[in-house]
Amino acid sequence: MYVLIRRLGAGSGPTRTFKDEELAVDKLSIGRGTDQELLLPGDRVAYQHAEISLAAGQFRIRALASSGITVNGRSCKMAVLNSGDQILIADYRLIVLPASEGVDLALSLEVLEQQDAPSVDPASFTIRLDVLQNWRPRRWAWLLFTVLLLGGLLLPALVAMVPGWQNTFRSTPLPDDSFWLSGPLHSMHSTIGKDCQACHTKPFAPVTNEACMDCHADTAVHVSEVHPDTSMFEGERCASCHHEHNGEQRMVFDDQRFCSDCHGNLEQRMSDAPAVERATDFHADHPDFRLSLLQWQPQSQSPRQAVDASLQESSHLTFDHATHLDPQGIKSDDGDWQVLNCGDCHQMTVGGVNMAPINMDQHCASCHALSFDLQDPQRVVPHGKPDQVLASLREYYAAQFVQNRAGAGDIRASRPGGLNNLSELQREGLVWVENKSRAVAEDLFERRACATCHEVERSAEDPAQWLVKPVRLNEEWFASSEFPHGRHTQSECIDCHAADQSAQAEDILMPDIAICQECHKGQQANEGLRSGCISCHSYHQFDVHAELAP
Amino acid sequence: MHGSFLSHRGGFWFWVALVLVLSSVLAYVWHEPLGQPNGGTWLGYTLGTVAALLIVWLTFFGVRKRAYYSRLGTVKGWLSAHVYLGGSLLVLGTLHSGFQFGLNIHTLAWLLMVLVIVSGFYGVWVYWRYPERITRNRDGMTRQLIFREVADIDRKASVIVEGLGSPADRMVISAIQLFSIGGGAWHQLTGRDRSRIMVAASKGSAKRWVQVANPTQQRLLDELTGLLSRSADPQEAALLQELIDLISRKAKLMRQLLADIRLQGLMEVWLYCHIPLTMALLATLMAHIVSVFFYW
Repeated sequence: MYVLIRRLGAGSGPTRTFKDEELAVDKLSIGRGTDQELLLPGDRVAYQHAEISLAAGQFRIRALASSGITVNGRSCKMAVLNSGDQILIADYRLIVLPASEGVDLALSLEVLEQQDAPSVDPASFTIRLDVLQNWRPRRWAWLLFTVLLLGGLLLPALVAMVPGWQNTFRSTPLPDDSFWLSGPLHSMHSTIGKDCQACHTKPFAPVTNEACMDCHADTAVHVSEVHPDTSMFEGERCASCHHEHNGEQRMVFDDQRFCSDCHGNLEQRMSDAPAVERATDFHADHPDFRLSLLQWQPQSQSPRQAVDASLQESSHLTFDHATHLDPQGIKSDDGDWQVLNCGDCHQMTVGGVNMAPINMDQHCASCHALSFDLQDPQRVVPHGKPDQVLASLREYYAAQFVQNRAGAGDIRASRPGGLNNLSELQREGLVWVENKSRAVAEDLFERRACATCHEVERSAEDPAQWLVKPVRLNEEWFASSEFPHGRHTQSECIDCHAADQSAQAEDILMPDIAICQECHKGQQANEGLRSGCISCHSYHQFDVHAELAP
Repeated sequence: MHGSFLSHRGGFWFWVALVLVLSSVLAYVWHEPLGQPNGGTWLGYTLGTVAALLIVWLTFFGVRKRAYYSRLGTVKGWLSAHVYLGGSLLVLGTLHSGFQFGLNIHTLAWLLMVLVIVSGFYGVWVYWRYPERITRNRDGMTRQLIFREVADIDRKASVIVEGLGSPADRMVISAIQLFSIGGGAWHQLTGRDRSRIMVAASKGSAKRWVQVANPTQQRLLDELTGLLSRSADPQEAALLQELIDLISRKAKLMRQLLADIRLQGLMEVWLYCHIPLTMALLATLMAHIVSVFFYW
């Protein structure tokens, strides 16, 4: 179609200037885009603002921009154009002129005078948009920086360094150096409270061992001072193993590498051959158990030795565990059958770590009564030294003698001069009592009561004296570890101690490592009871290494 | 693409950051410290040192982006490194902590670091997506142009109401006068329109004018539609219809404007958190480093 554009210029009425332009187009596109047929410059005109097309003999204008167009004073999206219609696009006015010859559509175009908005000043909106800018992030940044530096660094540092400030700030709700605390103190250390300087004696220096020893002076060291390689421990700190501020219950770390660090290569670390074997993991790398047996010197245990068939305990007792534990029962002296359990004799000490010593009166006497006279079965000799047994027998038989000879004695003693016979009676009594007592004692010591359990022999110097060999039951089988019986009560005694198969007191009923390893695995194990070194051993156990002392 | 700093030099800094993160994670997994993992093991000190140096260096981005004459790399390259290495700090700093948290200055430093990084990530997101959304919303116009359009509509509307008389004139003029946009940060960021209008409220027989909310001119449109439905005069109806068309157009412009203010605000506001939090982090970091060695 052919379109005539008449651009109106200056002036008004019939004298107004204009300039005609003819376009041959399919559609008349209008906009500020340079590809538009009718170019209308100006911000408020869209790149493609509207288009006029011819369809079915009618010209239609269609708005393409969202700001729309105004036709004859009405905003619209689409309109059919007739001669005389006014179209407003932003500040441009187009008027449809009567068609002239050779032209399908004629439009006049003029730019309207810019009018100021009478009621609303756009500037009044934009002023309020500056609020964000007024925040001034830099000011906030420096404010926060200063507050945190003063409160987080300077104030705590002053509290820590100026003794006068410590009490003031720490005893009041004022901020102090407690928010430097990396974690809660161990509950045992809670008495220290806020007195950081109790351990941190010097700023910018690690906590010293001396600070720990102020309270823990009696803590045993790992090796004695005479150990040839005490130099190995130089530079080691308490804090190497004890990490404070890791929670109320964690202070000792059970990581076995704290130990295996040295115990994995003692040969290289020590000047002499090490007394203990290499151990790095309970399940994977740990020597067999070695037992220390009681020795005949007072208070001494033997060096620890490996268990083999030849190793026997010599307690000088005769005892048959298997018979006592017979499931059918065991016949007691008074003829009753009794089924015994381990716990009838072996009881834990208070605290549940060790087993209490066996005691004749409590554990044996109810069956093994030390009676000696069938006529008087309630009468027993004391469970004591042979002299006491003999003395007791003499007293008993002396009384018997006196009673048995009472009738005759009454008559003789009541006669005048009867007392002359007293020494004869004494002699007779002494001989009878002595013979009777010795005969019974021999029976007790060598055949019946004592010999049932004890090793008894006649004295070499005085064959009339018996010697009961002293009982020395081993108490500390595992010198360098502690076995808490109380924490193993879910196991049966015979799971570890094969007492039901032991017929001799010499048998050693201590378990070997394999039995422990059934449940206790290494610390790195994926399953089972993960057990580190300090599950059984203690680091601060001075006497472990006493055997190394010269 | 506006986010091209993300793919600067083929994502070079992404790969640097990835290597840094992966090697830290591998070291952390492989490292089995005596005791439990924390900042005091050799790996803890290493991660802490690297992280602290990174924080200081990342802070210098604020200096570098203003140093217009600097020849030390391009700002785009610096931004790329800033974003990726800053992101890797989240992993480095957290591994340095050994996941030991508490109510103390050390965890505060970690928390501030996380907040700075998260606000930075938000910044990357808005710089990546919002320019396109802002352009789309403006629909070829500028904010100034929209204001001019609104002023134009107001001018036309105030001419039309002269032929209508009360109550339309009072409502239209009051809507123009009580027109409000923007305001405090909250209003800008939520895109709330606080424009108001005077409407007739009949209380008993007395009639008075009250001010009510007029968000995006909706109240005015409702009132004008009501007047139109009651109008018996065709000429008055035509004027009302024209007025409704104008105000509808204005409402659309207002929604556009509110969205523009909101999007623009969101694009700026993250930096107002990022910068102060960074400075707070720097102070706390200093306190953290000094305090752990003060109480060694």
